[in-house]
Amino acid sequence: MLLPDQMSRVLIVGANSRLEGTLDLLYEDGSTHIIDFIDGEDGFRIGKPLAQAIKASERLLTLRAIAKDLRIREELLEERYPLSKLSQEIDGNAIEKLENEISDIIEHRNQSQERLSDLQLNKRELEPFTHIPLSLDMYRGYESLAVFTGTVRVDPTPSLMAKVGQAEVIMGDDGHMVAVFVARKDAEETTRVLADAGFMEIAALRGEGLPSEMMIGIDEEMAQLEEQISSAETDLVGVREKHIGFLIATDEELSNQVDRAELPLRLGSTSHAFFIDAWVPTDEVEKLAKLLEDGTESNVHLEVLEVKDRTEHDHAEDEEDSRFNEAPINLRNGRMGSLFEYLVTLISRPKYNEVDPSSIFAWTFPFFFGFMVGDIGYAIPFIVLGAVGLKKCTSNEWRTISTMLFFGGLWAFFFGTFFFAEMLGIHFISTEGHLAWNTLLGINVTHDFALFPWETYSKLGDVEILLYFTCWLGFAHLMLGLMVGFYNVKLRHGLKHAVLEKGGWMLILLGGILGVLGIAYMILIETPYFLGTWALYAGIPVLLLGMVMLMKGEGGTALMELFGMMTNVLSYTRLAAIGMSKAGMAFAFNFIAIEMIGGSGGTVNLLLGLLVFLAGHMTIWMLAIVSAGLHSARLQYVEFFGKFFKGGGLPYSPLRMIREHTEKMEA
Amino acid sequence: MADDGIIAIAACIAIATTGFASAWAEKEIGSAAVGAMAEDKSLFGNGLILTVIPETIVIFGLVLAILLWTQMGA
Repeated sequence: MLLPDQMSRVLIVGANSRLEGTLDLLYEDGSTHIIDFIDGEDGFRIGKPLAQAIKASERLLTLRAIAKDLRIREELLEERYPLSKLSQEIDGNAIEKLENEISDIIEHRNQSQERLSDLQLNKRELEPFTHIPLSLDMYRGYESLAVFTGTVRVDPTPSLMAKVGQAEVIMGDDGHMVAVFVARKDAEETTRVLADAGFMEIAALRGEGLPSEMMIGIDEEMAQLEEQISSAETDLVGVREKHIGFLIATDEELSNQVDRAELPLRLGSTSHAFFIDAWVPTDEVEKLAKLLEDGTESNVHLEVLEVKDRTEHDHAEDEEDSRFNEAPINLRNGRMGSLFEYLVTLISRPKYNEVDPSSIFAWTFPFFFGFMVGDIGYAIPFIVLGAVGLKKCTSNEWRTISTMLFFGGLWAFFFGTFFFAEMLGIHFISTEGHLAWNTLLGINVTHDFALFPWETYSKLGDVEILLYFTCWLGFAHLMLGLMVGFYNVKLRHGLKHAVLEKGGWMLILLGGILGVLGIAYMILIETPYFLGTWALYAGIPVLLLGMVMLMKGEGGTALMELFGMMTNVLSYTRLAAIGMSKAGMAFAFNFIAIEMIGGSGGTVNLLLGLLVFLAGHMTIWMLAIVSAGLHSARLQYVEFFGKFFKGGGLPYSPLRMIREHTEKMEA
Repeated sequence: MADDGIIAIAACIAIATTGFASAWAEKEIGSAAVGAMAEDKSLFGNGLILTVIPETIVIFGLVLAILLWTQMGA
């Protein structure tokens, strides 16, 4: 369960006439991970795509164009399309018919849109001239007259009369638009006068008729066009509603068909035969062989070339292609472990010869999360929200967050009950007259309900004990990491390496912690003096032995990381520190809220107090998701994974038909 | 025993300096990580880890401050 599936490299050989049948069988089996063939290997060529490829690709292209016109993206559809019905429709040219159906509508709509934008432009140009009651043909065609049209800031009539004398000035009803008619000889002078009045020229339009009347015509036509466009859109929505299921299912099916038809491009072939080089999980090889034998009357041959072992060879000696050296990784976890796979692959996919840490992650990650939250009041909403999320969410990210909340919530409930005996930052049992549920509600939970007879700890009161405890948690977690690392190295390079490398680190960790404990006992606690001395005496030789082994195993430079190990252990004190910061905030909010509720301020204060209580705890609760989640993840990724995890494995992607929107109905 | 005021100031310095150091380091790493993620989305996991690594500095500061605080009034 902890290692990825063992893989075998197989070679499948047959005559070209059997290729299609073989591919169907491989897709049905769904366990072969094809190793891509590279052209020019030993006189083989890349295979030719199946005949259906062209037709299917064409149809897919048409389909995607239609989908784009209808604005269809991949959506969640409740119903799956039966495959037999779908194939019938595709073969009956349903896509082509649909294309015809919508192409008319779309062409019409596009034409209308084009005409509409032309009209909009016209309207903008015409608009200034509507202020002057002159027909457009009046602006042009004079021999002895010069015409100026444009806008002015002030009425130029008086100055024109003074300087030019003879001029016809028509001011627009908006007070800005102006049309000036003067004799050609006065044109120059007129330009100067107009410039003083802030004239900006607008060239007169060609055409006939009164602009204000033309405007009415344009508006009418635009309204008509808009109506046409919106009716075309309505038609398209109708088509979309009617065919959306078909379109999405067809996209999936045609993509499958194209993939299948183009698969020979990844295979090697000669003019008469083909061969497929592939990885298959060792457990499945027999099943596949039987399937091929039965399905092709023993005409296609399967041979196991290699059952991939997990030792790591020196790369210098085999220069073989990495395609054949690197088996793809099929993670195999139970239901709970697989929920955490995404969190592991977020960092990297495990390699073929190392433990897949998902199952360990499934325990330690929520454990730390729960320890940091450690409060029944926050745990219950976590559990509820997580459970709902796991039921409803489909995307990997949300499922992972839900998983964290659900399992983390369970642990938080556990620690909130048995370790801290705390709800919403208030303890169940009062210590030294502090605020507690028993004094607050006037009941003695210990006595009345026989609850909490065990020793519990306060996040704010027992800081030293919690710090001490979390260091031990760190020790245990790191030791676990080193053990996994030990197993990995043994798998790759043998026992001797494992003992020297990881065994050395284990001794260093053990010796170090004994030594520190010894010093701590002697200096800080002082009481059991002899215990401290013994711990120190035992710790130093263990530490030294570990260092010697490590030097032999990894070389002297590895000793540089000794302090890293110490900070690793101390890093786990964050478990206490973050719990404490949350408890501190809760304490503050509770203090304020209860003062307000219990005080003599009346209803307003009571309501305000309740508001502070709710908002405060809501804030802490949301911060808990981020801080506890992130810090717990960090302890896994940095401290824990650092002890064993390499990563960089190749994902296993077997030949399979994607069936999310379609389904095969058994006849 | 040492003056409570001095202990409080010491705890304060421990938190403030380490907090500042963490923030500074995370700012640098975070902006680089976001840049890398814009190029390749699959780097999210690594970016996240690298960004939270300096968080340890402030955790040590916090632990130190807590230890100092527990000495107050002793």
